Amino acid sequence: MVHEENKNEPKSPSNEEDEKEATYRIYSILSYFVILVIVGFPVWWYTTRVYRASLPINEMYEVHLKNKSNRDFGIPLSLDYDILITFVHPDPSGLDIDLNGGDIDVNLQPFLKQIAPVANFIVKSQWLYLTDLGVIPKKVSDHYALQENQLPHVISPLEAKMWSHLSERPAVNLVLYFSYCSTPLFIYNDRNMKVPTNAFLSPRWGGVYIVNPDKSSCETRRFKPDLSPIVSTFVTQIQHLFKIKGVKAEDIKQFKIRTVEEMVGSTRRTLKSLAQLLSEIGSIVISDEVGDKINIAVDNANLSEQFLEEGDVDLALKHAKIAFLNSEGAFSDPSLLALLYFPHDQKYAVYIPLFLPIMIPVFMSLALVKKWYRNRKIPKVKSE
Amino acid sequence: MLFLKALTSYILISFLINLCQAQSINFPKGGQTNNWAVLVDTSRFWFNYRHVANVLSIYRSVKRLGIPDSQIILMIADDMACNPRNPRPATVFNNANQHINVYGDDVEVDYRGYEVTVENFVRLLTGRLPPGTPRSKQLLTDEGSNVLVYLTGHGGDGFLKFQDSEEITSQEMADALEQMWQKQRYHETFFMIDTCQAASMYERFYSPNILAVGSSLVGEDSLSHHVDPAIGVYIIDRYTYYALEFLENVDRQSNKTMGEFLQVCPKSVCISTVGVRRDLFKRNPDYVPITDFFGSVRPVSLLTEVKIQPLTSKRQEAKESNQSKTINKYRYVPPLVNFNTVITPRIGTQ
Repeated sequence: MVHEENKNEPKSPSNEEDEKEATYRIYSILSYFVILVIVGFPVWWYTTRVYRASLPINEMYEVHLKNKSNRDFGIPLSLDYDILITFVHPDPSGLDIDLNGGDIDVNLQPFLKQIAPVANFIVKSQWLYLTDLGVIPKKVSDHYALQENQLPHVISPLEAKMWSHLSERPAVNLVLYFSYCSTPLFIYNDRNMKVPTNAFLSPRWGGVYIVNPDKSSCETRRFKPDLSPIVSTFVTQIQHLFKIKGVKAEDIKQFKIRTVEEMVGSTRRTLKSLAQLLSEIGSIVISDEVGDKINIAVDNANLSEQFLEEGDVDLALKHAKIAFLNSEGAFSDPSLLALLYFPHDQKYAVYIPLFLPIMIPVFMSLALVKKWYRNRKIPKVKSE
Repeated sequence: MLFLKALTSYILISFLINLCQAQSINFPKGGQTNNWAVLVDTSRFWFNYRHVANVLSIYRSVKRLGIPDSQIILMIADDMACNPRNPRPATVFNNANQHINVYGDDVEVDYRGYEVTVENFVRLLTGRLPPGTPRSKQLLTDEGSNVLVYLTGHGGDGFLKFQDSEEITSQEMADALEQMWQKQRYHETFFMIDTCQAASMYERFYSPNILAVGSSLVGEDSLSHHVDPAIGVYIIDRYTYYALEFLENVDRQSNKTMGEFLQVCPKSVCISTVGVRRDLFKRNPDYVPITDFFGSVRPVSLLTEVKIQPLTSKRQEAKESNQSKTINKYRYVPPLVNFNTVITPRIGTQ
C-alpha cells in the first residue's frame, strides 16, 4: 500500500536513482541466470558426458554370425605363437644325450615356412633335468606301460616347471621325454594295445613324445637320438593341434581359408559384443584411438570377406589379420575403463552439493525479478 | 523267522542295488573344456589373518582337484606368512591344530599386497590389462571355460571393501561379469563370496550362466569360526570352514554334486543364512558334478600315426658358426656333493 502511494507522487530525483539502481540490480540477476543456467548448464553437460568417438554402430550390430559349433577347441587364435620344445631328461648323470635344439628348429622350418602367412612362429627350446613324469607306470614283461587314463595327470606337473607363460604369445608346448635306461616306457591305449607312435597330445596345450634310449647307447652311456622320428612326430603334432590335414598345398590353403573365416568371425563377434556393451553400460569411454581401431577393423573385415569370395586367399588372410588385431586391440584397450570409479548413479551425488548452493539464491532472486516486472507494469496501466 | 530273514535280505539287496545304481548315474556333460579359478582376498592387517587362510585353503583344494597354477589367479592383499607378528613364520594355518600349512612351498601368488585393487580386479576380469602384463597375471579364459570366483574380506550392503581404502560396488561386479559374458570369456561361473552381507554382492547380476552363493544374507554378518590361541587371531571363517570340510571328502573321481555343496553350512552351525542365486544358471545344480567347477581334467588324444618328414641335410654355414660360438653356453652341471654321508673321524695315532 505504501509503495503504491509513493508511485502516485511526482517523481523525485532520489526515486529516479532508486529506479535506475533497481534496473541495474535486475539486469545483474538476469545475467547471473543467463550465464549459470542458459550458458553454464549445457557446457557442464557437454564436458562431463562420457566421451564416445563416432562409431559405425549399425555396421557393428547387424552382422550375420556363424553359429559357433561345439567343436573340440584348439589353440587360441593369435598372430604369433611360441613353439616351446622342452627336453625332459630325468637321469643326466646316467646318460649323456647328444641333441641340439637348433637342429630340430632347422628341420621344422620347412613346414613352418609353409604356414608362416597365417602366424609368426617362434621356436624356442629348453632342457629340464632331474624331472620325472609324475605318474607310476606298470611293469609289463620287459618294459613299462603308461595307460591312457594316466596321461592327463602327466601334463600338470610338467607344466608347472616349463614356464611357458613367460612370453606374451600363446605357447605350443612340444615335450620330448627321455625315459630312464632301466625303465623303457611305452604308451598303451584303453584297449591295452601299445601305441606305435609313443606320443600323445592335449588340444590347446601341446604334445608329448616319449623316446626310449636303446640298449647299446645305455651301455656306452651316450645317446644320439635319431632326428627323423622326432621331427616327424613334432610336425604331426603341430598339424593335429592346428587342425591342418596334411602338408600338401591344398591342405595348407584349406587351413588358411579356415583361419580367415575364424578371424573375421571373431572380429565381427567382438565388435558386436562391444556395441552391445556400449548400449548397456553407460560409463564405457571410447577414445579417438579406439574409434580409429574399430573403423579399421570393420573395413578390413569387409575387405577380407570380399577377397575370400573372389578367391584371393593370401590377400584375404592379410586383411583378416589386420582386422583381428585391431578388433582385439579396441576391445581390450585399457582406456575403456577410464571412468571406472564414476558410475552414473554417483554422478549426481558429486555435482549436487557443488551446484545447488549456488543455484538457490539465483532462483530466489528470479522471484524478485518477477515482482519488479509486475510492479513496473502496474503504473503504466494506471497512467493510461 | 524265515519270513523275517527273507524280508531283511530283500531290504539289504534292494539297498545295495540302489547304491550301485546311484554310482552309475551319468551326469549330462557340462560342455566346458577348461577350468579357471580367481581367488581374491581383499583385506589387509594382521587381524584379518582368517581371510588369507580362507583363500589359501580354497586354493589348496582347487589345486588338489586338478586345476593347474597357470589357470589359477590368486590375489592376496597382505602378507601373513612373513608378517613380523606371525609366531610361526613362513606358514599360514587354517586350523588351530595347525595340521596343514596352507602356504606351503609351492604357492603362486599372482597379485600380492598393494596390487590387489578394484581396478586391477576389474581389469583382470574384463581382460583390459595394460599391454606388457605377464600372462600369469591375465585371465586367459575363452567360451569353454568354467570360472570359479571366490571373494573374501569385509563387505557391506552392496559393496566389498578392498585394502581398507576403496570399494567395489555390486553394480560394478555385475557389469564386469556382463563384459566377460559379452566377450565370451566364460562358459559358466560359480561365484562364491564369504563376507558380511554377502548376498548383496550378487543381487545385481544380470548375465546368464552364473551360480552364486554367499555366506550371509543382507543384514546378517558372517562370523569367524575359532581362534588359535598360539597365533592369537581368528584363524578361519565359518562358511569356508564347513565348505572345506565338504571339499576334503571330494576327490577327482567324486560324484558329489553342486546341489550338495550349496547345502553346506546350515544356519545351526553357520549362524548366518547361506544365500544362493540360481535363477541365472540354466542347469539344475543337483545334476552338476562338483568337479565341473572345482576340478579340471585335461583332454588327451593319442597320436595314431606319424608321417615321416624328410630331414634337411643342408645346414646353413652361418648358423653353424654361430653355434660354435655359443657351444657349451648352457650345459648340465651335476648337483653338489651329497653331504648326508657321515664321515667317521679316524681315531688313533698318525
